[in-house]
Amino acid sequence: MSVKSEALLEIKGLKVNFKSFEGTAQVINGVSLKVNKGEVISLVGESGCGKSVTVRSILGLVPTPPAQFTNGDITFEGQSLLGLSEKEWQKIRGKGISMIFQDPMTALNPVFTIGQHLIDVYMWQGKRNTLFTSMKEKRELRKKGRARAIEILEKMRIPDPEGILERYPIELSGGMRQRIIIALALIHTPKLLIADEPGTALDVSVQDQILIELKRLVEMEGISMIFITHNLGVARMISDRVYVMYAGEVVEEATTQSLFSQSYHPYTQGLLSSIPKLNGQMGDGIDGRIPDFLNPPQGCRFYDRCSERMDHCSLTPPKLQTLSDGRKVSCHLFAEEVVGIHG
Amino acid sequence: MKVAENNSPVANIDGISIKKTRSEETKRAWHRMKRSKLSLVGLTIVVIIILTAIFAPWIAPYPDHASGKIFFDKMNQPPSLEHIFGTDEVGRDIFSRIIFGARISLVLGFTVLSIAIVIGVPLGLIAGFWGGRVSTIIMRTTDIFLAIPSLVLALAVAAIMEATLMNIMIAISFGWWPWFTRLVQGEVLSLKGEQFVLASEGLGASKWRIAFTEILPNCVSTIIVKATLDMGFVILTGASLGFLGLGAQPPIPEWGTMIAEGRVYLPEMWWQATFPGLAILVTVLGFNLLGDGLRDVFDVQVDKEG
Repeated sequence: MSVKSEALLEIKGLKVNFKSFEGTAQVINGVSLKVNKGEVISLVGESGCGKSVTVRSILGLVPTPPAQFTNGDITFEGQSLLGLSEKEWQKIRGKGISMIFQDPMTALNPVFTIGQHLIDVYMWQGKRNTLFTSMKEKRELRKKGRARAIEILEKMRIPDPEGILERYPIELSGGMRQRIIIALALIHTPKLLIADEPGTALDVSVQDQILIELKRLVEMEGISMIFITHNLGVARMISDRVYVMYAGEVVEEATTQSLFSQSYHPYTQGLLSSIPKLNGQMGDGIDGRIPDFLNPPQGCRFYDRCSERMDHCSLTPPKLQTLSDGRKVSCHLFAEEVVGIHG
Repeated sequence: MKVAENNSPVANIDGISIKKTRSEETKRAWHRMKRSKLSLVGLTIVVIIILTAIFAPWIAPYPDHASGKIFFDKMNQPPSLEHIFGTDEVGRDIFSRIIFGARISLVLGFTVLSIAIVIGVPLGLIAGFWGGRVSTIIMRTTDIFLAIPSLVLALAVAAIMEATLMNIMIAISFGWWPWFTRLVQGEVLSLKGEQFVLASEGLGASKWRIAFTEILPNCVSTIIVKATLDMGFVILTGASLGFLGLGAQPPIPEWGTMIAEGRVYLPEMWWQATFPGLAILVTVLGFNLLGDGLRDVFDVQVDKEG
């Protein structure tokens, strides 16, 4: 393992509850993760296990109420993000941390051209009182914005960027729109990019191209990235480290290489075996469903579905512990004495 | 790992220039409009009325008859070649007066709707986007206004203030803005959930910016259609108030006022009330048909990729 580099973003013991009519849902239950400068990490896990809520809280896009941040902290470049005012948030969003949204069909405003999207974000990001900007300043900003928009589109390898600027979202294919959304998120060269399952709505070949472009751009510009996906193949291709999430908790953390050569947590193993094989065999999968967030199990949240459960798993929740090989797992199988075997 | 080829395959970017596609889109919109004969009729009527209003002094055969002048020698003449719509009880040419009346009706319609849009749309936007207590206050206020029939409300306002054209416009606007608030609020509620709203928030846009520069432009077509359809009704309301003597006062050639004046001489001198009435009918009909046509044009565009 390389020398610990500087952390760009750190989440420590984040707990998010959602208050609803039925009760309090403990959606995020003590998530800790870290993104170093220039690093790409993946968050994997099945639908509804809290990936999106985790990253949306990084951008302050989780509406409170109904959400409540009961514990933990998020720090970005040493600054705590929880409890920022709306104005302070607006300075960070787009320039410090930026986000790519999942669905390329609806994330662009249908009444504006691509150019208006890109140039607007370039011109006004982090600015207030845009009403009082002088015409001259506006013209200069617009000119710069246009140049930057074309530059970023060229970097995305979009053909005829000048022509694209004049087009409306409706005139572009899904793949093109996804590229535009990526360009939009990168126009200010943020330090951290959050990609919430980009390309999931697209067919696999287009998705593949886009992911390659995205990875290339992120590496080129030295941007850190948090990549959310439920596709383990994608996670393997794109990231340096992987966090496996289950029911609002991080259950395993490892470098991509070691995770895919040997996974420790039964859930990760289950995920890997769920992938249908190309020879036509169905994956084994994991039986059961994610537990009820309103009444989470007392012990391990994975207990009901675990193939290697032990008696005390249902009583005491496991803690995320560092194994002697530097990997982190949250499972009783890897309690102290077991570590010896692996170490 | 594969390296992407430089010529990334993109389906729909071809050699067609943007300018050409844009003009084709305008053509397509025109084509959709053309499909319905009635909306073309509406458009024609509206264009003619607007031109008539603008060029009234040149079109009217007797421009000076729009004023309070009296021509006793030509009193109550039936329609003839000289006065095609006849003359009124003081000998003024009714055709000329109707032409000048178009000015008043259009000014009334545009002013009332402008005021209603300027007040109603931002309120609807705020109510829809911010929700919560703000929304409750705004929407319950509009409910109160909507519970009072706009004609009655205008009557009350017109009765309190002096009956002038300006006051009547204020009075009608008073009852008209809640419709726009309602309409926009509903639109905003459905647009608010769209992902582009969340996306622009994620890129650092402020709430005001999202509301006024992201959501509002998406409501424009609805507002235009509503305003066009309302134009006829506003003119009708204005004429009703004029008829009741609460609108523009004689000798201003307001259509409703003219009907009120001519009513006394019905049925013998039928032309005095009938022709201003027909003018109102045609105008209202024209705006309604045009509004329907515009609705078709815009709706199709919205559903294009449903």
